[in-house]
Amino acid sequence: MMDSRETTGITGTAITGDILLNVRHLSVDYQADAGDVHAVTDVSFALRRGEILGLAGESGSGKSTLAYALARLLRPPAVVTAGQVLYSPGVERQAARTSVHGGRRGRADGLDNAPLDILRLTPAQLRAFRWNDLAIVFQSAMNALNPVMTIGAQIVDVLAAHRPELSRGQRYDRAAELVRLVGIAPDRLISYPHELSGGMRQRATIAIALALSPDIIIMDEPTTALDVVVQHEILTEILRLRAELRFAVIFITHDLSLLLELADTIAIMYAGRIVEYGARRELAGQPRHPYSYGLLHSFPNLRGPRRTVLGIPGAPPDLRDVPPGCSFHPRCPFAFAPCSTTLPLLRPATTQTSAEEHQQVACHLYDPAFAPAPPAEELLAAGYAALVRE
Amino acid sequence: MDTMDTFERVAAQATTPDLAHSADVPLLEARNLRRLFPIHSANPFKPRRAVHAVEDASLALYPRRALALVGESGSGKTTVARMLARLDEPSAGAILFRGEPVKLGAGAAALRAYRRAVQMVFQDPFSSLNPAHSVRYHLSRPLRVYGHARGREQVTEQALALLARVSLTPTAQFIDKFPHELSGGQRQRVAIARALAVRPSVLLADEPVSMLDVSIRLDILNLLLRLKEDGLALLYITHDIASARYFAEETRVMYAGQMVEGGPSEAVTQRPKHPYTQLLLSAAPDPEKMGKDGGLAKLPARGEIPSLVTPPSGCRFHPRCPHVMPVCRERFPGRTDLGGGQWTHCWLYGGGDGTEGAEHTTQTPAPASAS
Ligand SMILES: Nc1ncnc2c1ncn2[C@@H]1O[C@H](COP(=O)(O)OP(=O)(O)OP(=O)(O)O)[C@@H](O)[C@H]1O
Ligand SMILES: Nc1ncnc2c1ncn2[C@@H]1O[C@H](COP(=O)(O)OP(=O)(O)OP(=O)(O)O)[C@@H](O)[C@H]1O
Ligand code: SF4
Ligand SMILES: [Mg+2]
Ligand SMILES: [Mg+2]
Repeated sequence: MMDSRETTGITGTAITGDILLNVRHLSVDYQADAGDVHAVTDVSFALRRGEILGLAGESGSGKSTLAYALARLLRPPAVVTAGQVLYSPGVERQAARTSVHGGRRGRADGLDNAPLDILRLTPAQLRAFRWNDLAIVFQSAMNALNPVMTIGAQIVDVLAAHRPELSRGQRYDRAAELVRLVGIAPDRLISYPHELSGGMRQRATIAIALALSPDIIIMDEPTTALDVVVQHEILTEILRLRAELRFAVIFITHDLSLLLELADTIAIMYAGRIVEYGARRELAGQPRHPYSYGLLHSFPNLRGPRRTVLGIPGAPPDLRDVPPGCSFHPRCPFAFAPCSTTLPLLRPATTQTSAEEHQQVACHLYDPAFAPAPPAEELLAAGYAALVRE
Repeated sequence: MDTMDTFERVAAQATTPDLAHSADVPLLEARNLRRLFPIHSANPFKPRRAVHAVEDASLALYPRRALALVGESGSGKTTVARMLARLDEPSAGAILFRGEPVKLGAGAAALRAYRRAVQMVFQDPFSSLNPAHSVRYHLSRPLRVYGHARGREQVTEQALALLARVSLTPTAQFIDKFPHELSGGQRQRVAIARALAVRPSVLLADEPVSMLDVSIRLDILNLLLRLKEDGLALLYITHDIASARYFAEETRVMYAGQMVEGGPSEAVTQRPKHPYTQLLLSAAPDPEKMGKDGGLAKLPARGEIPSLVTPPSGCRFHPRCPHVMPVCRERFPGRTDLGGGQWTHCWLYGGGDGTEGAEHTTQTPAPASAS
């Protein structure tokens, strides 16, 4: 079994389950004549069984591209230019897939318990892997659904394809159970996608992703069309199922306040890279990267007196021509000499790394080689306040 | 930064709105709109059934004002906006534009004149942009059709300016992209830019910023605020109630096809009266807590999901309501004015005429949630 700790980047998490997915140095480009778009650059992280990893970041920072890469759904002009995505199914699944699907080609090596490299799966292995082992809830619910089939028929189809042992009646019962789980009345199973509201479509795709109880569920902005009550109910269901079935979730959202309630670990992306990673509690308590700090302080508040909302001045970089050094430096209130020349890599945010302390940050302010001491939180606050006054 | 000042200034205005006696005439008004969607059925002998998507919805949009529409997913918000945009016909009720009834089924010329004034930003940016056309096409077409720009150079110049306004920079990179080359939030901004290209006087924005991170979302809302100050009338459909508080003078709450509460945004968000509004607000994620304790707060159990094909009788919220009374199951409560422009449809507050309610109370019941 491979030890995740040998990889650079993110290792420990508060969750102690086995590592299900190990992403190592993954990079994805969209190739174009006008210049390649570097949508994902050198992303590494480990996802453990039962973990909910929240992925947040600016619009256009590469979150969906990363999700597509993990599910092997990228199409030209997208190319994976580097990296591995290693999946370690549990022993039971391992046995099941050998008996049902035979072949074991595509392994990273010949060993029995060695992980599968998703990027090298054969088409047959890939068919078995998708939906069964990994399901994805797409950012665009309408495109993910078949417009000429009722949602009931679509769920039943997925069940029929992957669970042939179920009888017709059982499939319909399961479909009704699944839509109820996401708050849709079963009398709407006969509706076509265009007859559903935006949020109902989104919920139908969540129901399909849950249908086969996969090991890993990637959810790309799954709740943008949901009111907070329904969102809350569905997330509660997902947490309950997670505890029962021990699947892992990669939850992509722009809504950090949601991740602060839901996720076990949080990764913040900026311009194709993970710039901060840590347990929810750490990130919520003290965001370290100047970008994360800005993100956490840009909320209009619902409760209490109104206040000035900070925002992050400036625009995200052109991904064809990412600024040298730290890609955030042109917008960063704290940029200093090394920021425009040297690329910061993820490193522990503090020197005293205890068992629970594994917040990682890619910023020179936290590198003893450049900064004698990491900045205090008041300093981050003052820096942004000054920008807003300007 | 001056954009922040705008945000703050309008936020301050929204605290003391003058909703009751505005001198303005509504630009666009919906009166008692109803929409039933018949359900296809394989059996012709079955009685025809329908989705009761919108019941008796009224609202008015004024220049220089934003009205936020919030509420349950599937409660009819998009349907209301589509009827206002004349993309869908109400089963009953009237739509008035500048005080004149809008004739449904009028000719193409009338429709084009209407579209010049009333534009809609659709909820799903993945299906509302044409995959076969570039961003340039999406923006050039309205600029030309509505005569705002002539000649390739002028059109390009204005299209680039629109991209800059929605923070799609470098603009030269985005103008020749196709929808599939854009991320979700980037498409959303192209959709906004396309609607703004028409220079409408009414903008019906259906979840226009739902896929944007907080920082860019702020930029876009500030842009809409500036347009509003220049005279735009706005319908802002959103699930982000905090942004409704900051951004819209008035907020309406829908549940299962019915408008259950409305009034100045500050009152509705800070002193919600209807039990559904109270539930909604209690479920909003609270960044102030910053997840230190973590986990989701407990909400009351939902119970059976209400069907809109056979909707619950009376108040449609009654199967979930912690304060339900016998009368709630019988009749839909009328509108009760709560003072300060706030109103609700709920028997707890008298159900409209103060006599029908089982108990007339002026006190706010305890919020439905434990959190
Ligand atoms: N086919 C393509 N060709 C060129 N560039 C592309 C293509 N698809 C996506 N991009 C670019 O790659 C970047 C990353 O896109 P991606 O969809 O992964 O962003 P995202 O983080 O999911 O953003 P959002 O939160 O807005 O959905 C974007 O800047 C986008 O413009
Ligand atoms: N063409 C249609 N045929 C049948 N039913 C429809 C049609 N369009 C909408 N509905 C139904 O009408 C109800 C209201 O839908 P609408 O899209 O207005 O909701 P919404 O409030 O916008 O929800 P969301 O927040 O999820 O987008 C839903 O139950 C939906 O399924
Ligand atoms: S009318 Fe009755 S059921 Fe409806 S919200 Fe008020 S108290 Fe609850
Ligand atoms: Mg995306
Ligand atoms: Mg909608």
